[in-house]
Amino acid sequence: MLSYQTTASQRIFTFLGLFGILLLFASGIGESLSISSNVLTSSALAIIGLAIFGYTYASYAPYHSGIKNNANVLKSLTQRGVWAYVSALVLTAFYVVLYFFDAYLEPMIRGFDFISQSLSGKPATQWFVYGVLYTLAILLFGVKFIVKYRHSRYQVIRTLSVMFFQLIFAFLLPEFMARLNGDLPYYDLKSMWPLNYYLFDGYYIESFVSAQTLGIGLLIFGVLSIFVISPILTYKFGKRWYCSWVCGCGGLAETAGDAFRHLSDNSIRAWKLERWMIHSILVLITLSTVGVVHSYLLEHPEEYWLSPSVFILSVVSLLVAVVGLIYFKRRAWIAKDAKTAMIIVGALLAGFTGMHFLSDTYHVFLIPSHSLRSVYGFFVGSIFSGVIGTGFYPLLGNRVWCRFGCPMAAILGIQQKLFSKFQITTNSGQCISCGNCSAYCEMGIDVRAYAQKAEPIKRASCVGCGICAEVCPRGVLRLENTSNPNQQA
Amino acid sequence: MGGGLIGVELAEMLHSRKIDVKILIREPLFWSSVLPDTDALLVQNHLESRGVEVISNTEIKGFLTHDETRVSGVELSDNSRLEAQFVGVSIGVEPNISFLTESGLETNQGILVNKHLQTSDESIFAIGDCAELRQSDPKRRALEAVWYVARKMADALSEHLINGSFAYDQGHWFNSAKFFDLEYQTYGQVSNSSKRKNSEQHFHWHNPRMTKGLTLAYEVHSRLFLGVNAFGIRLKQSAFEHWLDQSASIDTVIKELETAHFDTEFSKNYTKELRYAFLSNNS
Ligand code: SF4
Ligand code: SF4
Repeated sequence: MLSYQTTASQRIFTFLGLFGILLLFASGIGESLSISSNVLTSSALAIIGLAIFGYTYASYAPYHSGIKNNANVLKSLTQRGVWAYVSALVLTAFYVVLYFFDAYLEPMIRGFDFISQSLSGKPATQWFVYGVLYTLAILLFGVKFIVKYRHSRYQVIRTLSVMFFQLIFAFLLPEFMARLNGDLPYYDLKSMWPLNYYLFDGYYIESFVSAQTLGIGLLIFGVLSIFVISPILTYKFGKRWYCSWVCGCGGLAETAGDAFRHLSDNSIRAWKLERWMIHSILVLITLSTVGVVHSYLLEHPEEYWLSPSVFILSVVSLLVAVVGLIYFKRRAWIAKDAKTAMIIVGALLAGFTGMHFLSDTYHVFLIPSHSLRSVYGFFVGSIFSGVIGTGFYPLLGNRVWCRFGCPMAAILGIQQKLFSKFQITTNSGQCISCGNCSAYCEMGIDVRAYAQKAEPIKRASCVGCGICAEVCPRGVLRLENTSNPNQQA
Repeated sequence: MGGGLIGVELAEMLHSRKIDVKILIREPLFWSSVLPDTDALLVQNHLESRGVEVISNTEIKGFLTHDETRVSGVELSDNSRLEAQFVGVSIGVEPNISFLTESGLETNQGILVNKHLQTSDESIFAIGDCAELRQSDPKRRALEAVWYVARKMADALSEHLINGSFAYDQGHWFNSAKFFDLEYQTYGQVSNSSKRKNSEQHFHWHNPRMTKGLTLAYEVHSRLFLGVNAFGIRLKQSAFEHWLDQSASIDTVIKELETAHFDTEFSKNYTKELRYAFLSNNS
């Protein structure tokens, strides 16, 4: 009856896609049917690709370019209907199996051996399979996104960038590096601490060091990324340079998650929860990283020039220096957020001090340091970023992890809020209060509240996706790197 | 029926539901009661490219009904008939103030208000689509039923109620709309073709595909900049407010046009092309 919601061809391609996914999971049984699993895997991937391209064509080819979100709130999949729950369940189940019951995926993983062999010369692991699927999702849905937003060069270029970084930096380069140098641990060049929270783990550092020049080079690059490269880029362009141009989590959210962006909760309650959560996770990961390095240094007193106490002291002084500088430079308007900042810093300082006095080789605050790290790895690294972050796209929106869980977003957000040229400029009194911008903001920012008051939008959480500016029917919003970064909202 | 902003919104909503729409208008071109013909043509072209038929120079003589309960079509001025399941009428707004006739408030077309937005009973205020200014800017109408005006009045009134004295200032006229995928903005005064006086000169530019267009109005002799209509190009309001405040000349506006660029990053900046077109037109 309601034929404008989904057309027949959209449905056919959806079912084709589902068939491709089933085939992929079933590729393991190929052997028993005496069909090579390579053939099955390749055909399954080809069918999925075809389905996504077909769906894209059926959805956008009949129309002129321009914002097309028609019937978004009427479709079951995109408005928390039955299909949304079904797909959330399936996605979540996939993550649970992937993380904890990978034995069940074994036949499917073998089907990917031929790809893995040709890249790194090693048999496929469950993470390799995940990497292939993840990269494919960004590439295929990236094409869909580009077609949908083909009228906007910002969206097209940004999406090409995300696709490029995922394919080359996150997927291909690490595989090739592993081929060149077998000792090198997997290193996604564009990922940086605290996203790759394992960067400073003892075994990780050791394998870098044992991989010699290239390894040490990468380790130094890792440290530079977070302390030098990232602050400079965030100053110039805002956190968007990472969150919606480079990052893989952001990449998946923007491309595969595009249809779900309006599900992000934009209540004040969600905003408060978000601030508490990502900053607590930031504190947790900082503490546990420092703890891990601290106990590593305790364990290897001879090998490094850095002693545990000097290490803790330098971390503390760095923190105090940064906070002091910020306070000095920004005290005029920092009052609003001062409380949160003080709590974060206070927690960190107390943590470090405690660490220093209550730690022996194996314990940080009397807790074994490695279990602190593995608790983080389990709850944040696995459950949050994967299971909830991606599995819940159809229920909570596409940036759940980026909003509530990502410690990198927390750091970049603080930088964006305190010193960045980036802002969304409002075109004076042009806002008609339609609310499109707030509805489609994937970070749950109430953009309209600022636009109505003709204020620029400078929010820590804004990832600069630019969708608010696209959906605004009056051209009110413009993402800009202004020349006067001190101008405050 | 009716070729205004509400009509086109209604048409777009029906069209998005895959319902065939025809727009019947009295004028020769869509919204040419407001837009100069060059601009009206651009909009009409856009509507037609989206699959909406615009039937011009037409009036409706009567409605056809289906067992007296449902409309089944319309009869047009040339006696032809059009079948329809639904007829939307959007022929403009007029304040419905008949309920106030007994109240003693002074009314004309709307409720008359002074610059503090007070009605003839000074403890009663009127703002928005129903408020008619006793003294208005000669270039403007006394009753402007537009969202931006209503909001501006609300701002002024709250200021007046809180701080005691604040007069409503009509400011420079501006408005905006979106015709399907075509954004429209206007600042200042650009007369339509039938009301344009000889002293008002228009410079019109559009790209070959007619997806972007701009009309600048200015006085021929003094070269005073009067206003702008923009289609598919986003312009910065503050820049135009500044030029209108300064009574800038068209040449200044052309020279500084780039400062009004407000399209999204990486999109093509048309201001250079425009300036070039203007200069080669005027040399
Ligand atoms: S405010 Fe706009 S640019 Fe920022 S995250 Fe929200 S939609 Fe994207
Ligand atoms: S989408 Fe544009 S017009 Fe609508 S509320 Fe947001 S800023 Fe205002």
